[in-house]
Amino acid sequence: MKHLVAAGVLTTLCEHARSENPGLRLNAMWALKALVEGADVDVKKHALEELEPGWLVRLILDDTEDDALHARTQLRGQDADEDEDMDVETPEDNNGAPTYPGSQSALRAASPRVQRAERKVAALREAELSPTRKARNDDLAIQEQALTFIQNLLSLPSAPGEMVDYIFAEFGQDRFFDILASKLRVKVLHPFARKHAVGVDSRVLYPQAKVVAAVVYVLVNIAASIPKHRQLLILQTELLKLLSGHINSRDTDVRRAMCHLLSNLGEREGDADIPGGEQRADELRRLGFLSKLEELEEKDSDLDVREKAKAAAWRIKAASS
Amino acid sequence: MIVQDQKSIVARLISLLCKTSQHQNILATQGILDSLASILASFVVARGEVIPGAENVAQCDGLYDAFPDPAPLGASLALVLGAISTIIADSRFRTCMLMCSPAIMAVFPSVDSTHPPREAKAAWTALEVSNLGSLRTRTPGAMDYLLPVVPITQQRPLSGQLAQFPPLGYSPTNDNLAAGVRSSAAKFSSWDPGRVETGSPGSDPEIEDVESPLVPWLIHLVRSTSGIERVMAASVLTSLYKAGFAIPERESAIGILVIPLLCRLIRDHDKLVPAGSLKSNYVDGDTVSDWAILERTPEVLARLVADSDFLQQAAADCGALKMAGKLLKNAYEALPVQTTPRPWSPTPDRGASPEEGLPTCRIGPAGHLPIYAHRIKMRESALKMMAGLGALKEEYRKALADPENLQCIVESLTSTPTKPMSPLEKQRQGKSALTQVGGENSPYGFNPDSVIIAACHAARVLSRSVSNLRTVLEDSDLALPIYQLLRSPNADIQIAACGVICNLVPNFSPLRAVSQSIPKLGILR
Repeated sequence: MKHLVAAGVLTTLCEHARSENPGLRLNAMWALKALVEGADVDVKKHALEELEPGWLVRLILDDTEDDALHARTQLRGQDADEDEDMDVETPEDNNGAPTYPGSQSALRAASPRVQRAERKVAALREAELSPTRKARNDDLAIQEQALTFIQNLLSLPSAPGEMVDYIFAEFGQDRFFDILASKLRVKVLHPFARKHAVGVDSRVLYPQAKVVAAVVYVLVNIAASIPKHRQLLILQTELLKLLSGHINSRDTDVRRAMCHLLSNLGEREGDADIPGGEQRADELRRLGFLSKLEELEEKDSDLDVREKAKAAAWRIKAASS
Repeated sequence: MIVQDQKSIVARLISLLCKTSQHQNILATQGILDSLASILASFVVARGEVIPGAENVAQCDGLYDAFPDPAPLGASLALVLGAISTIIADSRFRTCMLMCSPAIMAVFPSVDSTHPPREAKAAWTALEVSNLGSLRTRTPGAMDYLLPVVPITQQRPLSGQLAQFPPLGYSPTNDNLAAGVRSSAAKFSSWDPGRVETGSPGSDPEIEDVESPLVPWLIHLVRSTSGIERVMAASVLTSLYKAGFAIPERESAIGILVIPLLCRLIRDHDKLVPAGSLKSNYVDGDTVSDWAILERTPEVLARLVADSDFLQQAAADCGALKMAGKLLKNAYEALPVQTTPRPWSPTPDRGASPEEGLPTCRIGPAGHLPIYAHRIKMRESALKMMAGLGALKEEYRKALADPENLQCIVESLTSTPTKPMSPLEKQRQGKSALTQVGGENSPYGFNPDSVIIAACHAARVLSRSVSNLRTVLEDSDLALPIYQLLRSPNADIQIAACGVICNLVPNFSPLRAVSQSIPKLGILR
């Protein structure tokens, strides 16, 4: 391989992407993502090989930090009697609100100003000290970077489609689409958690805008490659249905990405692609995307989204029979 | 007095030791922060700067007991501010706890003052007429009367000359350092507390938070103190500002009133080190205080400006870009006396000790000279300053990426720095010279992890510029040590190094190719 360019660095970064330290995992994925962006095909393949597709899948799918926290809390729950040294604070021990002097009655009848202050402190405390929330943020940030890594792997203007085929071969095509779909669904964490494991109970996680946007951009790059892959994508009805739930996302980036994707799917490449384009346009229409695009075009608060929605709707209309 | 001494010692220990968020959270939640806040409030009382009418409001809110007595003589404001600043650091939660601590809420209620003194009103109106500020957006609080009125910029960035806007309003004097709660609002002499409207207690509790008068008070404190007190006040102010507890207009006030003072602190205290202090363990008091100010101020400045275009410009207008370079270069002056590094060892070499007697009676080998510790701290501080100043503006990144600065940054990326020189010079010197300097006794000392991490952040900021990447950074030896740091045993260094790599490897960067030489260094396993 001529392009061992970043070989040494690449190996080290891939190792760090397996670190126990979430900060290191995150930054390593961030660097890897930058490294494969615009790199040539050898470097891209080498990077995926070095990181190992299986590990990449785990980075995307697993809520590693959350699981680890859950395991820790479970353990603590089991020997709560002996294990008294608490380094993870639980909500019971002192709620952190400043203790106001004066009698108890004064506390009970605290003025609105004092109550407001107490509420604010409590909210910030939850936001900052809650181990659950920290674990969740760490996991989401890593998942987003791992997806962006794939997005950057896929784009290859010099040989469109080559990396898409490679990735399908590495992951398995159906498995790959399954992985992406799972990030668009609601996930129930620890469905059988025991109640006394404080902080990490059974929880429902909704798909997060940043992760959703990252998933959509992966699809954007698949749809940007060659007609064959656009055709493959349009057959993923299940995935497309999940996506249609996100086109009205509150996050501008998600809406923008969706317009981009639909526009790419509506594109026709040469005469040979005309029947395919027609089929795709009909399918998108059938799934209700066209009307949603027209809605965005009219009402969206963001100018860029309106423009992109307009372009996408135009393409789909032009392509359909 | 004895109690004061103990309080001071505790405050000093907190500043020195409590650097991890785990410790800081414990101090915040277990009441230590509240105690420090009430000492701080006692200074507010002693300075006569309690908000007029605060006592009435405190009574209504059930906070009257939290109203502190005035701070006694001999209490140190700088130490209290230092300890508070160490505890709250970059945490919104802990900063909020400071603002919401009973004593601070008691002396600083957010009340509207409906009758401003005539002079202040005239100044405001003048600014408003000339379209440089608007008061209609909000009623000024009582504390705003202690600050000069500054023009508020909204869209366009402010030009530097406006910083010389003549200060208006009160000139603080010490006449009013009166004791007693009754006269605690002495500075607001033109007011009758009875006229103050207490923010109607029955009003909607969810109404969005009013800014705590603590913010303008700290700006006032920065202006009315000097030396290390000023640095520490700015440090606490920085935490409040960065946590988003200040109203947007404060940005202008900080840029015009605080940043120039911080820059002047650095300039005034950056003196030639007295020859005696270069070689001896004894450092005179003035130098000690100069050093303390120099070590802290750049770091406070860096935190303050890091996220704001306007504040970075304010600092650059005060010459901060050049200053950062100068501080870093000074920190890499060779030291005349070299102290031997002594890594910890489980089996210390007993034979070498020239001292006699019981082990407990021996002084032990000499430690590092104070100047050595100062130099190391200055490296970290100056590097942080560079990272803060260059965080947003391409123009400043270019100015900071001057070859001499880069040489110092490259040296800061290794634990055994040598004389900062250009790659060309290094080649000319040859390997023999290099190994000799990097040996046991280096006049450039040893960089601890904190310096290396700060250097990584500075490198990351400077490499955010594509033009830097293609020019000066390509010529420097920056990439190599960064790639080596990826293998550092310290995870925090690895994380920081990964952060730089993100900027070095994109395909438009020529440094991508530098990594070709890595296998030779054995990084490829």
